[in-house]
Amino acid sequence: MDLQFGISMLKAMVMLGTTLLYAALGEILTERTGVLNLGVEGMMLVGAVSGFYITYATGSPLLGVAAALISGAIMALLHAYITISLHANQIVCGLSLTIFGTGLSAYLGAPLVGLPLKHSIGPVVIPLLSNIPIVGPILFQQNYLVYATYILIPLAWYIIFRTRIGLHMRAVGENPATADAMGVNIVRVRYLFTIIGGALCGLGGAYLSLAYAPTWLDNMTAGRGWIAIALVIFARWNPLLGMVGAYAFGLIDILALRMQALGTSVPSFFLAMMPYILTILILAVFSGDRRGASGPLSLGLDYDREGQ
Amino acid sequence: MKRPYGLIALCLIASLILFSAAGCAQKAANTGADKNEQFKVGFIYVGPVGDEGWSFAHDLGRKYVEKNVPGVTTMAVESVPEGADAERVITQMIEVEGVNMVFTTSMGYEEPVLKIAQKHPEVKFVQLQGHKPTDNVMPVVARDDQSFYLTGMVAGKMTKTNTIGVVESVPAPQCFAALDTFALGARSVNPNVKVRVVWTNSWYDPAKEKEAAKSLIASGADVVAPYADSAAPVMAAVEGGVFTFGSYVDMSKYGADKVLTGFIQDWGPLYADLVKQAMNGTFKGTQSEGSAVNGVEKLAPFASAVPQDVKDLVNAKYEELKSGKWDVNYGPIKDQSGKEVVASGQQMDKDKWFALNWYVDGVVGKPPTK
Repeated sequence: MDLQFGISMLKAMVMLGTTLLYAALGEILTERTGVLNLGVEGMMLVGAVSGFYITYATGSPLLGVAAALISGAIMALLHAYITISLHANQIVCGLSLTIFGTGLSAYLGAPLVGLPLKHSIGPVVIPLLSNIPIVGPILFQQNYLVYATYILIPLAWYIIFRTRIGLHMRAVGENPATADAMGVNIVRVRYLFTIIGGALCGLGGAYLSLAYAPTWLDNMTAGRGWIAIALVIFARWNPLLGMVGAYAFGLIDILALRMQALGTSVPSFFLAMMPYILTILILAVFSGDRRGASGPLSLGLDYDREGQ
Repeated sequence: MKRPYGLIALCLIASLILFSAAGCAQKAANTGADKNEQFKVGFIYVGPVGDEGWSFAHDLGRKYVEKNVPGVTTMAVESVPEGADAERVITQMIEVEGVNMVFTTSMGYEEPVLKIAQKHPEVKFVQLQGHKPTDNVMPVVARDDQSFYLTGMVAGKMTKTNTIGVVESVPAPQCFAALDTFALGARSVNPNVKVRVVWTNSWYDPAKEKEAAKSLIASGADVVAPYADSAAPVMAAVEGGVFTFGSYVDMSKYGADKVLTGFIQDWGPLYADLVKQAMNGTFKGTQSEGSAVNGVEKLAPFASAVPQDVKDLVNAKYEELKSGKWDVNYGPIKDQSGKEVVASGQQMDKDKWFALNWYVDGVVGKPPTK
């Protein structure tokens, strides 16, 4: 395996990992406030189809990205309303959101299947930075949705761990009753981050339909929403680890394909299993650690002040 | 506070209804006068007809039947999940719509079809990718492997690096057959050629299919042949500047100078024939094939990049297939160790051929089934 082959593999890793990264970041923000949204796959698909449709109709990928963000946010708003305001079970609602999103995207996308996208989001080479040996071609010959994650991920980390709103968010996720007593508006915080999370999931889907494989095909996320949910656990609800995890999951996917192309006989089913084994191992190793390894304490639990 | 379970239930039911409406977007294409003397033919598709692939090809067959067989009306239901749903849809077609003949175009419909066929001996069934003929069920196997021999020949002639690649989906026998014949075809014109293969282990994952094509290009392949349901690997090959082939339909629109040709399934004439047989009472449930012999398997028009001598060579081979005098399962066929499995002039048993799970000589790597 020569250097060029390695570089092209790592470049592909970043490209493939980014779709997981957006979805995982969205889910991390949502789960940090104690809301579990299993509708990631559905939100990604709806984001992918609406982003594709708007870009196809208007010729503007920027409007497509906006459409994906908005449609993901609307889906998440539905989840927020049903689980936060109506106090329904988060798991049931999230699952039905995935089923709903899968069907809705197939229905809306039926006339779009296989249409070529003229104005897709292509790679933009960043001058100077892309000339750095090895790192340059891997990180700085990507498209602008990939570059956006380089800023978004540290920003999200900063917001969660270093700002007042992040403190509120974590308080709501850990112990909503105490946060409530502190004067934090539980409903507002949960709504806000569930919606932002949904918008990011929508963008994760649109990354596939606008940049990665610029086309719309039924169920094109092919289960990546579920991998993103596993990734959140892998990342221990930390965006920086989320980035490492998304790239690791992406690398294993790429590795499985590239090794086959080289004719080496690593069983591809074995490689495909690796991310999940890693997730289980990390859970096993860190589950004794009280500092957030097992997730926000109130994750998936309803908070109802009157019902206390 | 009283929990509004009613509202939640309503939301769930609403989403379920929407899902089922979208998921099986049932579209009945019921045209022509609805007279009693009309012979009614139903079609069941596993995917959307807009998939530009398998289901699309069968729907073209339906349209051909409607246009070319007088006295016939057709109807179609797309995106029917295999299993219990299929049984319900087919039964409804027979008992409510009164169809006389049903084309069920996916492997997983075979069991429900056999059950229904017993209950309705007067209705004729054509079961795609099936292997269990009965009095009124005719299983038909699509022989894409024949076309892959031909595209393999083109690839063997066009490669400069002597490395060609195949994007494969799930390690199933018909996929092995396509891969192996591709290698046989390529090596029949270029004994130095090596065939690399990447399995995505999924029937349908455009992102992975694209990445698989890119992996093959990175490993030195300058021709990439997809056996996949989406156009993603074709797009990746065009982007990567290597030659490729279309699947099911003419895919030259993705890159006229790079898409050399491709396999096409033309079901129309065969289907029209079978409908006529059912109408005049000569229909028999025997194991059949959709192959070059009955005109189902065809090649898309050649790109201008393919030289005339290569076209002539491939066309001559196609004529041989068409005549039925030769087939891709004829020897000599060697396995990866170089051992001759089928001797020259011999034919591999069809049962064995449809259960392939090993690589022929010239394919690099170990099969995922080993």
